[in-house]
Amino acid sequence: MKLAKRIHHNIKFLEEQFNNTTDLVVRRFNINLPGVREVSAALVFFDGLISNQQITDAVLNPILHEAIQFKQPIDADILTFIKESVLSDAEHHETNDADKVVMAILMGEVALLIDGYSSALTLSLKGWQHRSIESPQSEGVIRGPRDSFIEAINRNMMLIRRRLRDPSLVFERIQIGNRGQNDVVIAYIKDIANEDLVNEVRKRLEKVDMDVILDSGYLEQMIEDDWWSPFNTIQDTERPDEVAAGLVEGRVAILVDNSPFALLVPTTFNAQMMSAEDYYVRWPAANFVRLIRFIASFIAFVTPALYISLVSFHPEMIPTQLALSIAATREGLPFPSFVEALVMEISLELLREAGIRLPGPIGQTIGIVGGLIIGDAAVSAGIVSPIMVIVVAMTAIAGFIIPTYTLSFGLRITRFFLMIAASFLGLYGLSLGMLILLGHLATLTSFGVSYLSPWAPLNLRDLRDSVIRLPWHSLKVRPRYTKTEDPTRQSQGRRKTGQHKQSRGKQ
Amino acid sequence: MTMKRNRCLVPILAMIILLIAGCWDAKDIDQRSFVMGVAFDISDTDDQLVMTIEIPVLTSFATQTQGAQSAKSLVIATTGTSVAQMATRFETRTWRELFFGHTQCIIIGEDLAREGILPIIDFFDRNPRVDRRLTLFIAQDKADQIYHVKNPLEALVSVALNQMLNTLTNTTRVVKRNFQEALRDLESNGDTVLPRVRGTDTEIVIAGGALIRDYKFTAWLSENETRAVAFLYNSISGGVITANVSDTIYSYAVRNAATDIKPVLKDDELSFKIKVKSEGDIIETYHKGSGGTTQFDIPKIQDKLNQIMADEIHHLLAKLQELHADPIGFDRLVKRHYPAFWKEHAKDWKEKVWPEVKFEIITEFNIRRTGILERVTVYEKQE
Repeated sequence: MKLAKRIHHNIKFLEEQFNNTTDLVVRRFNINLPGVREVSAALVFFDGLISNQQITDAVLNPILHEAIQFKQPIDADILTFIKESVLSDAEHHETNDADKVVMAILMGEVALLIDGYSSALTLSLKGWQHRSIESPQSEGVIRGPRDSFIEAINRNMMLIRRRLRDPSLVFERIQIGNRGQNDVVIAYIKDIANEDLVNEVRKRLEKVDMDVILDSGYLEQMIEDDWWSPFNTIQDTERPDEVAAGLVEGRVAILVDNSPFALLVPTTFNAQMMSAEDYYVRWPAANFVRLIRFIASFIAFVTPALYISLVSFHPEMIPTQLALSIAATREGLPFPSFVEALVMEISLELLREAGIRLPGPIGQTIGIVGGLIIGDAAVSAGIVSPIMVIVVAMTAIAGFIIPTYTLSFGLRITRFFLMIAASFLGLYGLSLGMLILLGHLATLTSFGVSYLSPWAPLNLRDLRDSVIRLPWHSLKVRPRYTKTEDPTRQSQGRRKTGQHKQSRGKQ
Repeated sequence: MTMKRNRCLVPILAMIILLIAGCWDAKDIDQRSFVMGVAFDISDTDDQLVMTIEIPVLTSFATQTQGAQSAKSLVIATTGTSVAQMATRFETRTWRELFFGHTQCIIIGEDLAREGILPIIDFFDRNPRVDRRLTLFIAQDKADQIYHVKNPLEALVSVALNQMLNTLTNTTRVVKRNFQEALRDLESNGDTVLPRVRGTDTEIVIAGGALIRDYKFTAWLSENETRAVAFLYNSISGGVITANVSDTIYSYAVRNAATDIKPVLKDDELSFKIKVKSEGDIIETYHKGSGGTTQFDIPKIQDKLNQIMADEIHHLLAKLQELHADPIGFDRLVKRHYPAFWKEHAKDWKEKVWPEVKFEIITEFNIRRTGILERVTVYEKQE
């Protein structure tokens, strides 16, 4: 639809389009240029989405105060003159499409309407409040950068761009959401990322048909390979360095406006067991920590099931002295071990959830209350055994070691599945459950990449960065699972050992 | 459509299968009675068996504070005609299920063992939960009295017994033979040597061995004979051998010992070559009267040790031949090395061949260290 010539038609049209919403601001004023008759004009924008300071500096001041002081009469038409000689903003567009104007206003731009012209200027004077950049909440590190994404997508793009000053880094912006029209950005490095992968991401995003995308979590669930699985096949992170590292590995990132979490595809189980810090600390420390982490993930989802199966099915497998003390502590308990374990694991989950929901100052008391209830009162009241408290504490601690929150969710859920399997069939059930789980993990894919890569299918080269991480000078190539276009990331050739020592000696 | 319905059905079916068939052997650890030790005797009054079990009193293991007053174990007994029958009879004494997964020892009384141990161990051999590292003992006199010994150091007699046997490193006078090894011996030819246990009012003693022949207790072996058995079983892990050389007693501590037995068949005449090699230290010299000695004649002491052990082994083998018993398993060696000969003589091995077999025993004791005593003169061997 085209705009009308008369300004009051246009204003009426816009007000009707926005259903006379109260946050729509229509600022009317007159333009009185030398040599031209006075015309009425208006700025139309949403309150709060634009910077008042900029409107004054870039639009109102030049038009109302500076332009009228011109001595010579202008010979061009008013719109062109204002656009080219008066306005001092950075970016504006001229359009006569009414729908485009509506969209622009919704995006946070300012529409300048002038009487007698059937086109409008849309001025990019966005300026809304957002959170400042803070340190990451769920992926903290000791060594390494402390900034994390915020809700403003432009800032997030800036955080990535600052790390990768590469002309090949591309941000593709699209709008998703029939009503929300939310900004979604696909980020990749053009000569590293596999083209098919980028196309696949684009294709899946285009198919998303939702009315609004409030967080990247919406998109994640709409484009993932397997919605059935308790495991996530799309990685989310709030760390810009993690995204930058992913991009140079040949992965594709998806940023969503108003979401401090970026999505990374493809991802594997292995990739989610890595923390950014692994690459910042020296390799012996990184290897040690990774080993601990893999052991921890095993502890986190097997221990309660193992406890149940040993205590209720195979007490002969526990060393005699330990068996005696476990039996002694369980003496007189009202519940079978499965119920005991279930009660404790559920109360752990309750504490965890309560800890997240409670406001900060009260949140700390939940720790004390929970610790007292679980650790002491439940034992002395004879509801659970102290061994069970140890088991629960172990799983809780181990669960927090898993660096990706989303992945630890998957393990948390499957832990209950294993507990049920163990309570039916003991160790046999536990092994069956784990086999089913392994089979399930092996069927998962993330944008065509097997979830268990590089272990299954076995990829010896990618194993260099899995449970172990070799020193940086041995990681000369990018991981293979992303099928990257440019496999090398360090110039080939051996680093001579001790070369730094020698050069220091010469000084 | 059908696919979708199947998807829902699978977990439901799985649950039903599990709920109906599963859990049949689920029993929580506190609902089981840990039978730590079992003893078998023949009743004095009639011909029935007596089964005595030792069960820990779990509450006394819960906290350390309760201390010595409360009893740590309960010893109860029942009579019957078979082991399984007696084991089920305990259900009328305790609601907890008897659990043999942590049984530490089985003690069989002398009188019962003379009649045969096979029917007793059969029950335990069949049970997959029984820990094969438990020890089978033969008790001098009655077996149940062992569990009534009050030893303030030990909470559970059976644990103490098994621990004692497994941690022995300084005596050679006991044969370490766990259930698994004993079963292997027994199933091969029915003969073995089991450790002997003896109880007084306040203490338990493990010393010497009980010779089992054809699953029946046949004779006691003295402590020195048991030592020879231990060498032949290759189960020496330490211990002291004393040698008297010119009025000084030298104590030789065995650090390691290895025995190699080889059958030799020459002109249809079977003999065995037994080679015992050992390394060890002199840990004491004991000289009667004043002075003592700082002088070591190592070759002489070694010769003496060689002679002592060769004599002991000879003596033991002679006794075994006399009793027609082959607990060491010489027959297995013959079978392996000379299958043709074995085929011919398998039937009359114990009765005819074994008692006539000759032995060549080579002992080689090496003294490696003599301690850090000063002023030690070591004589070189003179050629």
